[in-house]
Formats: sequence, structure tokens, C-alpha cells
Amino acid sequence: MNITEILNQAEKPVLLQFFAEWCGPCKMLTRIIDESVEEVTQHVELKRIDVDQEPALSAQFQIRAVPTMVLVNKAGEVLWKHTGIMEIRDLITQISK
Amino acid sequence: MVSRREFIQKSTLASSTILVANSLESFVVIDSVDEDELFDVIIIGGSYAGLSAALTLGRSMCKVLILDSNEPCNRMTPHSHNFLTQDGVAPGQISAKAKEQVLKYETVLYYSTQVEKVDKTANQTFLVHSVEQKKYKAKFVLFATGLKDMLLPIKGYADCWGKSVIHCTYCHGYEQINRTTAILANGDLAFHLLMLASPLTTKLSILTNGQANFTLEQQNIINRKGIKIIETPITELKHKQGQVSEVVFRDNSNLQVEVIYSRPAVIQKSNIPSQLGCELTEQGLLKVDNQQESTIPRVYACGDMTSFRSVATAIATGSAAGRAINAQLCQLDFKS
Repeated sequence: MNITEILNQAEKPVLLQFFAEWCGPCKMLTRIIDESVEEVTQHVELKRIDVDQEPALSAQFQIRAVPTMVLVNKAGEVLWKHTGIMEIRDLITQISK
Repeated sequence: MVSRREFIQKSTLASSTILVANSLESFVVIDSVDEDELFDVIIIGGSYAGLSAALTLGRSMCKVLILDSNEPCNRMTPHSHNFLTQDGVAPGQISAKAKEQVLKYETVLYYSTQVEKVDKTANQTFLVHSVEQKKYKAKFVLFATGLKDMLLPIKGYADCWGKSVIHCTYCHGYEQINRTTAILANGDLAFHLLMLASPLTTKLSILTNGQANFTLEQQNIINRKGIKIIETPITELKHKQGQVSEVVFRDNSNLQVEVIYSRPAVIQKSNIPSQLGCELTEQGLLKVDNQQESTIPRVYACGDMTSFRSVATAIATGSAAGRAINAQLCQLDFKS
């Protein structure tokens, strides 16, 4: 998987959610997002990326910790990056700017 | 030198930009370390043995860095067996849960990387180099790098490995009860596997893949039990997604089978312990004492690379190594 492919398939900005299977906080964040997934996907396309399966993509976005979310626009520019869990309201505020 | 407590405060400070009150619970660092940081222990290999040691060490507030290349030897196996409380669970699920539990401890860091070499420095510490040219320092090194199976160069063998070509009756034999079974081995090993498989099935044959090499006594017992020995070299294992159905021989004859026991030779997955001067046993395992310390002081080893291959043994030896290293660390700290 590479970022060009992801962006080509997307019609909106893409929220890359980097996670690891073994990471407790990642599961918590996934739960938080899943509870409001419809609202999230109104603004962005959500793409979940397992750092253990996708080392190249993780390196490209300099992922040093998980969970990390990266918001990328159609042109491939990084609009926002956040490491750690966050409240859904704050996330929606960020991605709807 | 930074004490263990100062280290924790430092790590907390470094991540205090995070919103949640207990920042260490809100994310897991996967790759960033201050090159000057001196770890108590660097664990090379983060599968069951390494994680088990990290659990023991983390619970004693030791500063631990786990460096893992994420290639456990049982990754081809759909289910892990013979480990109490996790019988039948997928290996990946066990290790994901293990990592989750171990990385809760704030002094344990885990990076996904491969180690290139380990140097002993003059001041009694070790310098661990990753393939990305990063360097990590530690007082102790614990190897949990496992073994590598030298899979036989037979067509289809690698595809069936861990699924229907299996190395151990204890770990996977029960699931194969009463199936048409072949022992792909010769001599003492074949006889040993035959003995272990005989309570599980009566439909047994031995494939020596070349001239048979049994003692007269072994030969007599095999004959008496009516077990066929096939010496013709094997050209292919026919299979469907790793489930073997037929062995094809060089003379184009074939044999229907459902399961094959085969124990290919193993070698140490990492040659770094040998480069450091650690001795091996005659069986190619790393030589350790009853505290899991290798023949080089402050270099420890645990798991498959030192002992009988099983998840339970890996966890036991990892725990023992963690205990022994912590005891040494406490002695050093307490007396200084």
C-alpha cells in the first residue's frame, strides 16, 4: 500500500490512523472513532494502517509512536498530525476545519 | 548515571504534551530513544521469551528496551497448542495480548527493528546497533532471538510447514489423531518421532528420503509393527493451501497422506551471540547456566535458542532470565 494509491481512491481528505495490534491505546482510539464513524467519514476518508504490516508507509509519515493520526489532503500534504488518543469532539473539530 | 526513578520522570516529562492526565497510557512509543540513555537491559527478540522476561523486569522497574524484528518462527502456524490458558489460540493473538500487557509497564520500551551487531564497551556496558544505524546502550543484553528451521528443499514442503508438515507431536499431534501419517526422517530421529506418533494413529509409514539407517533392533520393531519404510527420494508434496494430500517420489510412485512429522535441522537465527563469544552446545543451542546466563558475563539468553521448543518453555526461561538479571541489577544498585 502506498499513499498515492490511497489518495487516488479517495474523494475527500484522508485520515490515516496508524495502529498496532498489540497497542491498548490504539484499540481505545478505534473504539472512540467507531462510535462516531459516520460523523467522521462525512469529513474524511478513514484509513487504518497497521504499522507492523506497513513499515514503509509508517516510515514515510515518520510514525514513532502509536496511535498516530495523520490528516492528508488530496494533494498529499499533511494538514495535521496527532499522537495519542483524543476525545471525539476534538477530533471532529480538527478534521472539519 | 540516571537512576531508575529519574528515568521514569524523564520519560513522563518527554511525553507531557499529550492531553490525557496519565500520558504514558495514551500511546506507545515505537521508535525514538535518546542515544545517551543507558538501559538496564536490552532484549533482542520480542516474541514470547523476550516479552516474558520484559514482564518480570518491567515489574521490577528495570529500564528495558525490546528490539524486535517481528518474525516469530511460528508465524505460519494457524493455532498454538499445549500452552495452558491459550490452547488453540492463534500465535499472533497470543503475542498481541502479551505485548499489550507488557508495554503497560512504563519502563519497558518496544521498537520494531533489526539488530545488526552488539559491541562490548570498555566500561562494562553493551552497545547495540540497529540496521538503521542507531545505537542503544545497556548494562545487560538478553537474547531471545530463537531458531531458524532449515526447511527441506522439497517442492511444497515450505507451503505445508506448520500446517500439515509439523515438527512436534506435543504441539500439534492431537489435532491429527487417526490421520494417515508419514514420518519424514531417518535413523534415531525417525524412530523417536515414530514412538511419539504411535499413540495418535495406527496409519503410519516412514519416509527416509534416501537409504534407511536404522539399528537392527529398531528395524525389528518397525517390521513387527508392520510399518512400511519407503527409501525412494521425494520430489514433491502435493497440497491444497498447505494441507498435504500426497507424497510424490522420484520413481513417480505416490503415497496418500494427511499429515507429515518432520523435524528439519535448526540453526541459531542470530549469529550475534556467537560473534560476542557465546558458546553453543553440541545441539547448536546457546549454552546457558541455570540462571540463563551465557558463557559471556551479563549476556543472557532464553527461549527456543536455549531450550526445548515450546511456548510454555519460552515463557518459563524468559521469566527465569528476567529474575536473574534483576537480581544482579539489584545487587549492583544496592551495594553502590
